[in-house]
Amino acid sequence: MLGRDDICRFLASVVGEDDVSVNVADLYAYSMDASMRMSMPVAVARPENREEVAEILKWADENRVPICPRGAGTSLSGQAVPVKGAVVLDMCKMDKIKEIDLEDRVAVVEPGVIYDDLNRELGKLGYVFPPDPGSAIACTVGGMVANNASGIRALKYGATVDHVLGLEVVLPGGEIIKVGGRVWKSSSGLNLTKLFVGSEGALGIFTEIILKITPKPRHHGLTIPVFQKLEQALETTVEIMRRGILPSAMELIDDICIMIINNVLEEKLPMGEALLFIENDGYSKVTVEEESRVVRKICEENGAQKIIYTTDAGRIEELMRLRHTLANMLSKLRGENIPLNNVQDFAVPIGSIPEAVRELKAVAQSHGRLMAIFGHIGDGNIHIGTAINPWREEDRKAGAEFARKLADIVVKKYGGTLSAEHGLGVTKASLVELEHGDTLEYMRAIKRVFDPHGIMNPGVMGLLEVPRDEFVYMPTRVVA
Amino acid sequence: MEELEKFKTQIAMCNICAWCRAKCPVYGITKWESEGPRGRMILLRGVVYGLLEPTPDVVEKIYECTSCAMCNINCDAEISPLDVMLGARRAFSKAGVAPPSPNKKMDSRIVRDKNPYGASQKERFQWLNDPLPERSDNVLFVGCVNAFRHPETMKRAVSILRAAGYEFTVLKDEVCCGMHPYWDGQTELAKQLAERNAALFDKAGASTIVTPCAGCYSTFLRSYPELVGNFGFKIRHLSEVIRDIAKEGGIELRREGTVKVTYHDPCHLGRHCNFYDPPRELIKLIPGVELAEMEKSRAEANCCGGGGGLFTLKPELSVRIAEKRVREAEATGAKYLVTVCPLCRTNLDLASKRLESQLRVCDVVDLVASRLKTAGGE
Repeated sequence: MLGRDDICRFLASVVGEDDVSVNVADLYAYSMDASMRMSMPVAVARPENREEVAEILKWADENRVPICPRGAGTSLSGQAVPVKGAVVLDMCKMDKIKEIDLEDRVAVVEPGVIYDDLNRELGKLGYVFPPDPGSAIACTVGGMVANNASGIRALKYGATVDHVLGLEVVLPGGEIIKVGGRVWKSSSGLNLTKLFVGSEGALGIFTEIILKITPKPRHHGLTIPVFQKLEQALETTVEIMRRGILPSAMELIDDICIMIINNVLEEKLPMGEALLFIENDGYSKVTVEEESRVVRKICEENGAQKIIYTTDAGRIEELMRLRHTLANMLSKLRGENIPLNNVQDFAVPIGSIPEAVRELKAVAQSHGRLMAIFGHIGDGNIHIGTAINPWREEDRKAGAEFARKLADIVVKKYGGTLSAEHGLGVTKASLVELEHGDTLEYMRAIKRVFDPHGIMNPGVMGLLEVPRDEFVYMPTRVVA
Repeated sequence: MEELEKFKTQIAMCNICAWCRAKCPVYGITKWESEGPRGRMILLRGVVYGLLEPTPDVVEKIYECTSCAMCNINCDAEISPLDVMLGARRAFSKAGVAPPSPNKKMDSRIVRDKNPYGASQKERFQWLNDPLPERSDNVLFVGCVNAFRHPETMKRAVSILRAAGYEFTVLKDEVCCGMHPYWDGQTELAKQLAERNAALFDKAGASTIVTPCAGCYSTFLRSYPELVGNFGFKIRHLSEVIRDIAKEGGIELRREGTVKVTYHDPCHLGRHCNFYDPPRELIKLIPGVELAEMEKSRAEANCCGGGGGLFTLKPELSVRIAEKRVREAEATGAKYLVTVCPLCRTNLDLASKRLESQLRVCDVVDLVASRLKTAGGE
């Protein structure tokens, strides 16, 4: 087994001394992502091109050194938390937008490009890469692809997977392969591109990504209806879709979240059990206004007590930003506790939303648990905010039981999923079998094809057996 | 670590989301997780829960910050990574493990010489030839950087004020405002300097303190009330005073062709004190001068890299940050990059020269002085 000095020496010979660190401060900073789970890597390296990535993966495979690829570390499920003894590959230096081709309508980027930076450049040309995750300001395109990330506009525009046309991937062993390409349609062979999207760094490392780009909608209308009863809001979302309207976003916010938002909003939102953020967008102002009018009518029919409607771009941006930041604002509720992140990202079939949300709320109530519900309700994605005290064993245990109970309901009763857009990471690894059952073995077999020695991001998605206490909320004391 | 304990809840509430990191000037250059606000929050989470020792490596990361406050405006959990950073610096200083050596040396020089340059106090006002009254309602607090590094600008400032008949004096015994030790976490030293200056302001019979320095301004406005308690002086930036004078016709400004300038918001005036308009208004009062805003301005303005003690700790990193800002200024097509902070000016000027940029960096005082109609005509 290689010692830290050997590892450091090798990495420095590939990426240069300035881009390797074994400094305790660096290792500690890279031990965590937004999931708040922690595990110390042995070193951090920052490759600058695919050749460097390939050289490192070849060496890592030969020497059985685990590798944890990292974008911006904004993952809420612990995809960027390294298994103990791993080398973190921070992809921040591979951050070039290599090409924007308006004729082919593609963008070719390196994995470390920040989502917002890409959209700033695309925006100048009237285009957008639309999945719009909450972490848009910081997350990388590579991280989004690895995670199949999405956000509030996935309802109309789809998740990351719907926009990835091709990938260049470095496999363990150092082989560089290309999957997919620049064509918008292909029915040629097994779709390896889609296999790699959402693979959470467990199969290889992306060094180039080819994305579809989408014309940027010119007009927006935002409707915010407030409802006395949660059920009225939920029925409204179902009815809007039933009438054939496809909003660009349809977000649910419950009473706890309204209170949180009102804390920072000058013009307070009216209180009710729930409100919706319904955004319609399009090329034509007339169409957007007509769709918005029908949306308002449906809201009224379902008993909305108040409806805010605006087409002002600045106001829409301000209000949508509030929705984007809601998950972060929930930290005011948890204080020193830590989010229970394996229940944060369920999805159920759209028709089951009202019943499922009601049931999850009832379970929380019966457990005496403060729980906020919000999310991309239009596509069945339910975000849940609840927290545990990481220092108390009984709290951790109660949290785990609660998570299993909710997961059971979502998966078994409603045929839902553990994760709509955050990925499984390390936080949901213990629940994977519940959803995937026997098919998990097929996933493990695929993992072995690409990564026979199991060096790529061990611990994610339950593909490899890693001790459960490997990824903890607080590590043991670190000695420099 | 009592000082850090106060911030335990804030540290725990941090979502580790990286929104703060997205616009951090230091992270923007180095791209090391530990060298941005989120990385610092992770490190301090370890320290405050007793899991990580504040080793020299850890401490140094806490000092790799320009105190620009960009992290604060991007935090939706409404915590202040900046306050946490300052609390940590204080805690580490109290524990004797900080500041890092270059900063400590700088603070020692301030103790010895009352300025950071190792210069004699006698040199502070060597540039000032005109006699000024012993006492006045208005005290012009020049600050160390202007006094020792930009005396020509200060001569011009005095000329402008005199031309307008503005009554003021200076403190011959003026000492460093304490900004450097304050942000180094050396609160006791900052307090001593603050008390000394406060006594001098009293002695001069001042009610208003006018300063040409963004750092001194924010130190008086934001830090002195904490350091000396009841600090009841009115604080004005020199650009504000000259704007009023020019507006009221106290000085006449002449056109000298047309020129495009851009304005850099110093972080300690802008985000720290919400002071954005007076320098812009002053620039717009100069005939023939067109103000072109940079892509990032006002609360969104990028930092010059010079603050928070970073210029002392890592001058190369500091100038690299300034180079980015110079590039942004160049993109406006301006001939002059105008600012109202001598530290920003020094750093931006270094960067501009290193980039061999055509952009000329100056203080707004220099721009105004170059367009001043003298008593004898144009």
